[in-house]
Amino acid sequence: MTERDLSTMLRDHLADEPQLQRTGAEAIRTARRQTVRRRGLAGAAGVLAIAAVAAAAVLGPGGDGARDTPVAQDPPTPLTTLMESAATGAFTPYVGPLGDPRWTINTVLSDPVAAGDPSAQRYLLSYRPGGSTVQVNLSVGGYRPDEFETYSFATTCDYQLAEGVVASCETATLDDGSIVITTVAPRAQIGSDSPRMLTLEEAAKRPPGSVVWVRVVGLSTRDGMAVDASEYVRAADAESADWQVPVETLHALALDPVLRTADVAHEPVPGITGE
Amino acid sequence: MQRAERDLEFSEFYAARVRPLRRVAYVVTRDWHAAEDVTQRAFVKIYRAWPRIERAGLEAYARRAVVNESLSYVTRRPRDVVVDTVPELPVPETVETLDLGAALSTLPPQQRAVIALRFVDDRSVAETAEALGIAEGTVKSHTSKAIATLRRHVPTLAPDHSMRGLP
Repeated sequence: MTERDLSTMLRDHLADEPQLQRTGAEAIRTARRQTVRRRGLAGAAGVLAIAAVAAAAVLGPGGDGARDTPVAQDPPTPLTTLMESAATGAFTPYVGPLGDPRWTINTVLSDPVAAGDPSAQRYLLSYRPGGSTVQVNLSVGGYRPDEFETYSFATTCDYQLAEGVVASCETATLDDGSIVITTVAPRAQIGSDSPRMLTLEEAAKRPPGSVVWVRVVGLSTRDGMAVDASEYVRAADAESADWQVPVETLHALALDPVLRTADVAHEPVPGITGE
Repeated sequence: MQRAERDLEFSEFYAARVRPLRRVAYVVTRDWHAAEDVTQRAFVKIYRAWPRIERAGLEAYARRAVVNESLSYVTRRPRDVVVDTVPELPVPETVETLDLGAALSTLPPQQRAVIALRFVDDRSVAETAEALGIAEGTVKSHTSKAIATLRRHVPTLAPDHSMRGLP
């Protein structure tokens, strides 16, 4: 037997390896959580060190307090800050000053919660900059990774086109199995927090000025992250929509590696997984 | 380095190396679930150390991390939760014929690691020695002993197998 024979036999033996269950994004998230925990511990140790130094100062000379001086630790950047930073950087060059951010942060049951709450599953950031762009949105959400198949992202476009609720819909699959869907669709009641979805037929019948069109680039990853970037403009139909934000910019924002590794809840959606 | 840039670089490295390294981990642990776990743990450590790792040594760092995690798993694992059907014992007095997977399980963990790095990940003796933190001579000796053991258990690996006309 040559070493090459052994190598060949080993490769044959490994030929039926199972699919990967983990992703690089998961590794990044875990590493960041560990870093945050360590920083927390380091911060606690720093507090103790400060107390020790203070005690030494009170008790008088004899200790080497300088060695105990804690090292400053950077707190983790809140997701709200990361999203505002990403949205501002992406949208401002095209739509100008964004104005005040509007936040909607919900649990999987759509109950509002505070930013940073462990049950916060969807963070929606909206700006209404004025001008021809009515609104720009950035949302980051989680879902249970095994719901990736349940949601049937790959067939979303077929369904939406068949239902007549989108003017265009394109699906792309990334190397890591994530799906990116780009759609253009009509909406009504844009002033509310829940714009109403319209069919193309309904949109055509509405009075001029009451319909806005949204262009959304949405990323859905196999490890349970959903990031959407969108722009809303007022227009009579999809063809005449005067988009200010290039679709490439929406795409880059949706695929921002920082956002797709955000720490959000991944609770199952009731009714979809039976839980 | 900006976090986005770091994440992108790491993600590309992960995509390129996770499967080959998981195969190495599998040969050591003899369990695909364990192999995935230890490989992921190693990549978490790699990400945390990312800014400090020299790019020229990244591959070697990753190999070392995965092999260390794999050996750590094998040595800490209770022996009765094992692998396939064959207990990890020294070469038995009576040699039984085994398939390659079972035969691998009869090897000591470090010999499996050597086999995995040399013949699954196609690493040189020097690279294998570096990953395991042992001398090149030890790699050669582990290789020789491991192959001898495998030949005893797997007839198709014997040097005169084809001359005997066995299937």
